[in-house]
Amino acid sequence: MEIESAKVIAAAISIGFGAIGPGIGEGIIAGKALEAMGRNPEISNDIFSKMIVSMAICESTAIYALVVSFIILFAV
Amino acid sequence: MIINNILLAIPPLSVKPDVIFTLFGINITNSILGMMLVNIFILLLIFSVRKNMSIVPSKIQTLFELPFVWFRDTVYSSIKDEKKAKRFFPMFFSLFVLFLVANQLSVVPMIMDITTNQGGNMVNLFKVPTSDFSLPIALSLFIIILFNIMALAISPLKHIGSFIKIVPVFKARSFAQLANALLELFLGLLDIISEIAKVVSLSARLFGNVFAGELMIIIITYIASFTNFIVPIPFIVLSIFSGLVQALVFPLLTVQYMAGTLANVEE
Repeated sequence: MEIESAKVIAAAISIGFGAIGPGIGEGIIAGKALEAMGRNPEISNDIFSKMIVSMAICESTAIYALVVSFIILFAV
Repeated sequence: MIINNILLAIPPLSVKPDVIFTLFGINITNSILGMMLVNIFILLLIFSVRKNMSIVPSKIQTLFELPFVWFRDTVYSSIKDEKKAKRFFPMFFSLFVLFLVANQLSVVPMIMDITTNQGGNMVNLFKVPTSDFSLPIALSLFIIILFNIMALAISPLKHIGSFIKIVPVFKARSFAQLANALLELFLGLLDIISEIAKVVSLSARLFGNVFAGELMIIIITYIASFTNFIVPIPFIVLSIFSGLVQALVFPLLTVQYMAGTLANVEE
């Protein structure tokens, strides 16, 4: 296998598998937050900002995978 | 580089910023010029809003006061201590405004199309500053080091003691307590790594989101001749949205980190 094609495949595997977990996690967060907002609409503003922060934390593993695939594609 | 081989039409993309000129031995890159542009824009915004400021707000003042009040309420509700929140709020808000403007620089028309000739190849004069890894890593390093210095200034022994938990080892009375204390000592040493991980996660999150947004727009635009015009619009909207969210998340996470670092010291 050529080194170029190995790089492309490695980048694809990195982001492809890295995006599975955060996708599920963010879905759970959004679902639970909407459930909580539906039960108690008065505190929905408070819940919304907390939801955004926890989503960003949850997303970070996907972003690490993305950065790794950028490094493989562009920097190495 | 590789993507260029696959899709020939795409303009050269690079993680590394291009050097425009050298000033006293310092390389002035296009991301630095983009940062200057963002700074000038923020200063103009501040002065133009401040000039017409009044107690009865005009329409444009209301437009700027609404996000300010919302952000202030969010920060104040997560710091709890009113006096401390008032003291540190300007830092978080300036981070928020900086990223809010910097992430959207690519949306401003014409600016991203200005190119200069650098040794035969055309190079963009401006680059979105947050899509260069230098700015996110510099700001997150500054912030984490600042919080550690603040904690050291309040109580040096307690702060060092929260990493090297040597005291429970001497206080242990039985073998089980000693084992627990040694485990806690090891976990405390791991906290040093978690401080470094905070820097990495803060900076990589911002850089990854902004750079991915740009990359996706460019790839969608140049993937075929018929996708040049209307097709990229949803992706541009997505990139704007993720830029807004990241501008919000960075300061809010730093607020959380500050509360966590100072909580060890102030018990």
